[in-house]
Amino acid sequence: MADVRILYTEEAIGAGHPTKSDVLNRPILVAHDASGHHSSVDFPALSMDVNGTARVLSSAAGVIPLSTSGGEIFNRGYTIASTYFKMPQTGKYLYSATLTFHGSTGINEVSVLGLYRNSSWILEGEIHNQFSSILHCMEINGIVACNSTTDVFKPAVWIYPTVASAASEAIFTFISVCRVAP
Amino acid sequence: MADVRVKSTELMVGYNHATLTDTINRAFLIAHDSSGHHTTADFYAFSIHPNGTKTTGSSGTAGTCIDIKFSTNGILFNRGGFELSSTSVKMPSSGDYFIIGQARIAHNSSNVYASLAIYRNGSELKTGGIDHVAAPGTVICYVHSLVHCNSTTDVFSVKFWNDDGLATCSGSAVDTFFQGWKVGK
Repeated sequence: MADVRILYTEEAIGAGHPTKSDVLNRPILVAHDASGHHSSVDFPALSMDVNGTARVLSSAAGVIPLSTSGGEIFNRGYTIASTYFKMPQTGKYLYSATLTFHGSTGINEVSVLGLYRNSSWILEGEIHNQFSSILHCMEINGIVACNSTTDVFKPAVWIYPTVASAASEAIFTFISVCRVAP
Repeated sequence: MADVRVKSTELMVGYNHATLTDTINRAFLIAHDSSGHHTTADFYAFSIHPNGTKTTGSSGTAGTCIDIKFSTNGILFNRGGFELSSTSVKMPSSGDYFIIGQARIAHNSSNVYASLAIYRNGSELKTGGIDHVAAPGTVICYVHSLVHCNSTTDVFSVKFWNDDGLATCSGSAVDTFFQGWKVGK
C-alpha cells in the first residue's frame, strides 16, 4: 500500500484550498470520513443468502452454490461468484454460516458444514441428527485468514447419506463475513 | 456528522497551545484517544441477559415467535449508547452489526420444534438453531448473523419459536443472552 505520510518537503495544506491538494488530512482520510469516524475501508462486511433458490444437497461433498444475481443483503467490496467469494483485502475475518435443511434427513445421520480456502478445508462444524425431522439447522462460526486477495473461499456441506435440500428462504440459509483485524 | 477536517484557512495548532485550540489532532481524536489507539467511538458493543427472569410461552400464541424478556438489570456492558429495553435494542448509529442470540428453550411436549430468530422492526431477518424436540426436554438455540441498521429508530429483538404454546425460555445469564457489536458503516 502507498505511503501516505506527510513529508517534510510538502506544504501543509488543509481541506478546501482552491488550487492545492489537501495534505494535512490525507493519512486520516484513508480509513476515516470527514467527520473523523472510521469508514468501512478496513472493516468490510458481506451478508448473503441463497436468493430464494432451494439447493439440493447430495450425499457427496458439495459446495453451497451462492447467487450472483441478488441474494446479497449487503456487500462492502467482496467479489462474489456462483460458488465462491473473495475478500477485498488480506486480514483476519469472522466467518459465520447457517444452513437449514428443508426436507427429511434420516435418523442417526451426520452432517457437516465448513469452509474451503482454495483447496484447503479450514473450518468445520457438525451435527448428529438423532431424529427424523423436516427442518434442521447447522451453524458455524470462526476466524479465518485471508492471505491474498486471490484466495478463493467456498462454503461447503456434506450430508450423510440421505439427499436433502438447503432451505431457500433468506431467513434460513445465509452467510456473514466481516474483517476483524489486519 | 460534522466535517472536522483541518481547513486550508485554519492555523496549524498542535496540542496544548496556551490560547489556541488544537486543530492538527482534531479529526484524529474523534475515534482515537491521545495515545493513538482506537476508542469505543466506532466500535460499539452490548450484552444483555434476562437476569433470572424466564419467558413463558403461555404468554404468547402457539405457532408464533415471542419476544425473549431480557432485563436492564442484566446489562453486562453497553459501549456506545445502545438503547436497551426488556424486549428490544436500538443501535447508536446506522451501519453493519454482528448479532448473537442464544437461548435455552424447555419443551413439555413431544415432536415440537425449537428455534431462535432476529427481528428488525417486527420482520424476521434471520433464524437459527432449528432443532426437533422428540421428547420433553431442553435445547440451546443459537442465531448469529450480520444485520444492517438503517436508522437509529430501527428496533431489533430476539424471539423464540413457541411451537406448542408451552415452551419456556431460560432466565439464566450463561445460557440466554443477546449480544452485538458494530463492524462497519
